[in-house]
Amino acid sequence: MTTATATQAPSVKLQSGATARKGKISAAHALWWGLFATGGMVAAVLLPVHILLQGILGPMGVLPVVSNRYDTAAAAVANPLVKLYLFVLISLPFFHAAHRLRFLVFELGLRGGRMLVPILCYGAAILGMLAAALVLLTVP
Amino acid sequence: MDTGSSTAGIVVTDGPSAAIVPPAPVPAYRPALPATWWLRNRRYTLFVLRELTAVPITLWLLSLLVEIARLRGGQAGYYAYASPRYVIFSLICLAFALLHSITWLNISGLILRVPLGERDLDPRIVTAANFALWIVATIVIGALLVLFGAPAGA
Repeated sequence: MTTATATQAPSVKLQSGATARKGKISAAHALWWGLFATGGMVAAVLLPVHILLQGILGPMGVLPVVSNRYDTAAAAVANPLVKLYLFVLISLPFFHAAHRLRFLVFELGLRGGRMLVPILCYGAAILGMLAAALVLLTVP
Repeated sequence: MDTGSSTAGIVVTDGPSAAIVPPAPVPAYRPALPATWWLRNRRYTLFVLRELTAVPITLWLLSLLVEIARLRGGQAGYYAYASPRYVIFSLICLAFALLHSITWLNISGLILRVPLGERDLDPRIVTAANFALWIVATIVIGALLVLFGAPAGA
């Protein structure tokens, strides 16, 4: 993990007029937070309609959703753009959940495992991402 | 007596001032935070629920990945979820996903700063734009999911 240090912490002028000093920057935290934020946006904007159609109205037979039948589903997933979309839709929220759970577990009382909890959380997200990539690349 | 003395905190153990050595430091009182602190009021509970929305979202996405993986089984091996149990599971996940969407988009205006010179764009405008994006994405993706659900030639 690399940290960027300044000989004197840089100061920032806030909108309210006050001045604040920036803390040290952690590149690792920036990475996980960036994935968390993007994953959160993907989950917030794109996911509900998938759950509504592919999880509720499709299985109930109310609407002809693309994943209901083999021929339509296979034709859709064969498209590399669809594969890319599904990869983003599935993988990014994993990192969102990993970051959230890492800190939630701390807030709910677990104060130990400062190295283990992040490794488990982000490791699981990476495994999920690899699983999604493997599935999408091996589906014809 | 010099009450503003910079020697505060230094303990004198001998000499004329030895008599006024303060007692050993008393350990600070640290109230133990109970594990149920978040049940204390509605705002705390909603916070934990908001953070927990990540779990149903992950589980539902895993179920979607499993369904996609079934395509590898070909025409005979593939089947879409159809059981009432899956519909109920999806309903619960949808409730949590909506909680996530609404809380996330509400604060997105504060997170996504749009600097305009000295000041920033009003966060409420960014939030409104993000909600509009959510509605548009829902309509477009919903339409695509249904349009491509019609079998070729039908």
